[in-house]
Amino acid sequence: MIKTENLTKVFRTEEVETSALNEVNLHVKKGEFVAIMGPSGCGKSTLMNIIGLLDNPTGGEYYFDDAEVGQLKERNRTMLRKGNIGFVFQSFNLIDELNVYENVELPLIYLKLKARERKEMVEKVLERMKIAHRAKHFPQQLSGGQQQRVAIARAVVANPKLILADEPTGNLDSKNGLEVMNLLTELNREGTTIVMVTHSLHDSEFAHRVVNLFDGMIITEEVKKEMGEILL
Amino acid sequence: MKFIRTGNQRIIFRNLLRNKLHSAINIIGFAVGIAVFALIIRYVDHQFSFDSFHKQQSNIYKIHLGDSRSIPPASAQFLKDNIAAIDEVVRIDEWYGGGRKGYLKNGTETFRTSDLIFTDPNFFNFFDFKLLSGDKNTALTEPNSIILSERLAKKIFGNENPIGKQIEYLSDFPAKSYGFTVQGVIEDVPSNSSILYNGLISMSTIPYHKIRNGNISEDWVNWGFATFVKLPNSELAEQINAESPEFWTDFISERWQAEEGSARAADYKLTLVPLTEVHFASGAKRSSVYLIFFIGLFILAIAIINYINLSLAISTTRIKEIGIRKVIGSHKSTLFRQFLFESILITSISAILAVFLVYLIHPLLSGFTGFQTIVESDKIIKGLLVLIAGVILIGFLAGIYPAWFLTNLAPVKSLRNEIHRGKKGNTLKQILIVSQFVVSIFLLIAVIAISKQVNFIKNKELGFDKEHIIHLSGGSSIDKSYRAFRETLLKNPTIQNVARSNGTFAGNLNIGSKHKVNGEFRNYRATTIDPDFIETFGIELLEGRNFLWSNKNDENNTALVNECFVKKMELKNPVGSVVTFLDRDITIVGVIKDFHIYSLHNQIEPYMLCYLPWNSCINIKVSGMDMQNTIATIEGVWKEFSPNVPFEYQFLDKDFEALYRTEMEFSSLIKIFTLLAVFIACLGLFGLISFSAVQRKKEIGIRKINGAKVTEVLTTLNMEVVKWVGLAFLVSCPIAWYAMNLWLENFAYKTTLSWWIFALAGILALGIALLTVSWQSWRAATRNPVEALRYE
Repeated sequence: MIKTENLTKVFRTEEVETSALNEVNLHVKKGEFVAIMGPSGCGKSTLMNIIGLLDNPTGGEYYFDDAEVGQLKERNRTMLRKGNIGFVFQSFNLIDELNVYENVELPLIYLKLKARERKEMVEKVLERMKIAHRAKHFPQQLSGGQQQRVAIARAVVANPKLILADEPTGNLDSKNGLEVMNLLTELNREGTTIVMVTHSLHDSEFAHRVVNLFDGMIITEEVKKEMGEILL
Repeated sequence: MKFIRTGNQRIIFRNLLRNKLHSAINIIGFAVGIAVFALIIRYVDHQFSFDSFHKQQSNIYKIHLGDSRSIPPASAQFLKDNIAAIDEVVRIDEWYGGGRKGYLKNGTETFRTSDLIFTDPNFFNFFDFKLLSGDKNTALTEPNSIILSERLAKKIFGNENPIGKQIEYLSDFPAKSYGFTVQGVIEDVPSNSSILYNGLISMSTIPYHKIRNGNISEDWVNWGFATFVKLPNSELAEQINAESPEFWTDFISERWQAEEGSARAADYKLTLVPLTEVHFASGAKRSSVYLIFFIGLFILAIAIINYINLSLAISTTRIKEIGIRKVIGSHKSTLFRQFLFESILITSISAILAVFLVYLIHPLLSGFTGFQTIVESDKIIKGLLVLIAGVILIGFLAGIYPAWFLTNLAPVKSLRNEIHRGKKGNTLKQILIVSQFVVSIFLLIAVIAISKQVNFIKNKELGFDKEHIIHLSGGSSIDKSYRAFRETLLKNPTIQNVARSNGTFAGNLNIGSKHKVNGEFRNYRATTIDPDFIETFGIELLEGRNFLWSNKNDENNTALVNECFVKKMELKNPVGSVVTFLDRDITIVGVIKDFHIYSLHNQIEPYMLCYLPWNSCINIKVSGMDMQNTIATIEGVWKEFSPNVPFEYQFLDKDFEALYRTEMEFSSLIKIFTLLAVFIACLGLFGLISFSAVQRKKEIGIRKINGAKVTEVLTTLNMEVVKWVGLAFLVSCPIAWYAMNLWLENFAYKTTLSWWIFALAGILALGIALLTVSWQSWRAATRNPVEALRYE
């Protein structure tokens, strides 16, 4: 599903050149749950942005579903991202001015689905995330756990092939964090590929495989469980 | 107590510098607003100060009879004899409104002059015009006395003392020359005087030279005298205006057969117009002055709204500062003063800038009536005081709500930056923005509608050809050799026709006369022409014939009348009918098509063209090709035939444009002010959107991550502006429709308020607004969403 070959990313300012990723070769199979770990500034977020088609690499190749997408124009990246990739962030990133329903509906609007279809899909996913009763509430009126459930609902409403989660439990207490991890696991079991950045060893236990990044390079990879184990 | 601590002042200046864009928008907006408002106040003050330099302004009244603003000269003494309360009366011979025109000759040189008026000896005791030299009690007593304005005296005599000097006056009509003695020099007429003059001639000159029979004390025929009276109080005037006194109703029924209560009596209705009202009773429109004043207020309001909106927007970034201040014990009132000081500081900086702007903008306006001077020297101190008071007031108005809003935040919430302005703040912001657009769209509609009317006027078929007609004044100087003059001119192929008339064709061709129909006098207007006139002007003859040079009997005895005349005088067979013109009988030889000789403010009136030898204006129809040479040719011929009178020419189409000077000025003024209003509104919109683009950075990022294309983000951002403009459009349309209809009522012939005027204004407003915000929206929409979310 995801394959990077010698992926590099260099940030240039007027004075300094920082290499954020250095020849990263990562392979994520369809249906896999991969956790990326590493200290702050090791390039995790940069890697996520490139995988999520939010940014282009400086060098190397990036294959998404066997197609080279590393140098796509923003327009085409947007087209490819739509409906294929869902994002979950540490800080939830909900739009304050929109209520729960509208936040979740957002990706479907940009997919140009009909209102009736959208309604059906949003209601189904809210039901599933157990926040249907909060549909008319605004983000500020929800607890952190509820907000993250809304964010996950939004990430999966369009049935994407890939979910990218950037520290999804970072702002949550342990009980809500566990709930979120269970949800992600459940989605993965149903076939969604998940790549998750985390600091938490506990969370990384949910993944099939943990990739350790340091100074923009993959230093170790560790298989936690075979895919089949979870699929059982 | 110090208004504000030094430490706070530092913060205020730092804030100004930190939010450079917003400070600049506020300062520029206020500066333009204050500058425009100051100029408008000056204009309004000028309009309402007409004739106020007369100390007894409130006791002076001008006499109108019916619609006529000038009356027969005999009426003055008659009214004084019959109304005991009249202290004093003075007459000014306005010569049908234009003032006498002619040439003044100092022996060697000849100068064209206008606005020479005949007046009574008590002119200087009655009014407060300043006589600079000469004896105010005797200067106008003797016949052939003339008093010159300072400017005219300087022009004619240079630095010599003109008192006692002889001067020759060549009158246009009647074509005669008179010898006058200069008896004084008068201050140039102030710009806010409704009585205009370049020179005053003693009234006794009229009987001395037997001008118009000369017997002015018995003259009830020439309605050319503006007549003013002094009354001890306003009650009597109100009484007379309410009900005509008996002596007057008796008099007019005897003299003019205007029976009490008849429609005709209204034509002779005695009205005393206070001098304070004379300016607005003679063409100036109070409504236009008010409209301009309100536009000034609107412009200022738009600048104030910008300040409020931007302050509230920026406030979210200052919440922490406020929280800390409150936590460490700052009083609400101290903070309140700080914010108020800030707004007053901004308006003060703007005011200084505004003073420079006034000097910059002023030349643009100096061509408009009432904008000639910025401030008269004696009013500078007063002007400055008003400016300072105004600046403080504006700063206060702009600062009070933001100050109140910011100081009322709870300190803990402020510290946690937990303030969302909430629905209420947002609604206020939206109301303010929408009202800015309401004003802008209203002004745009007004500009388009006024321009449409002005164009309509300019291009309307007048019933004759006004293009390519050059007219020369002073034609009486070549009266005797006119035929030869005409023949010489016509030898030039670019000159197509030459004809004479009593006056110029745009406006002052009006001799008032009346004709009796079924025992009742009916008014009409007339002018005198020669037989070439109809053809020169392309006036259509419907019935009968034109005057004939060959028919000696035509002169003095025949007339052409328009369709309206035929209708009003109920003539079944107009050609051959005999009607009254002034004191004589005259035979109609032809009927001409109705045409406009006045501005389109007026309906076409019954009109007569008489063939009489009273013509001092020469009208020359040219082909329009090689204008420069044509004019040079005419000048050459003129000098040959009239070597002593300077050659002066004008274009008739320009004269017609001058008839609409008020409208064109008004139209241009509104255009300038609309441009400025829209500019200030756009400044505010730009600031607000730049701020909201920053505020919505996260939202835009989220939308993009969820699949929004750049165009979709642009739509989301611009949709808000479209909603504001749309709402404003709905509000301003009916207001503008009503206001413009009201304005169009000033015209007898008016354009239609087509739907496209409104549509165009709406599209313009939307276009300008979208242009203003699009750059910011584009920047926000194309930003990499990762940046927006990275530092969350």
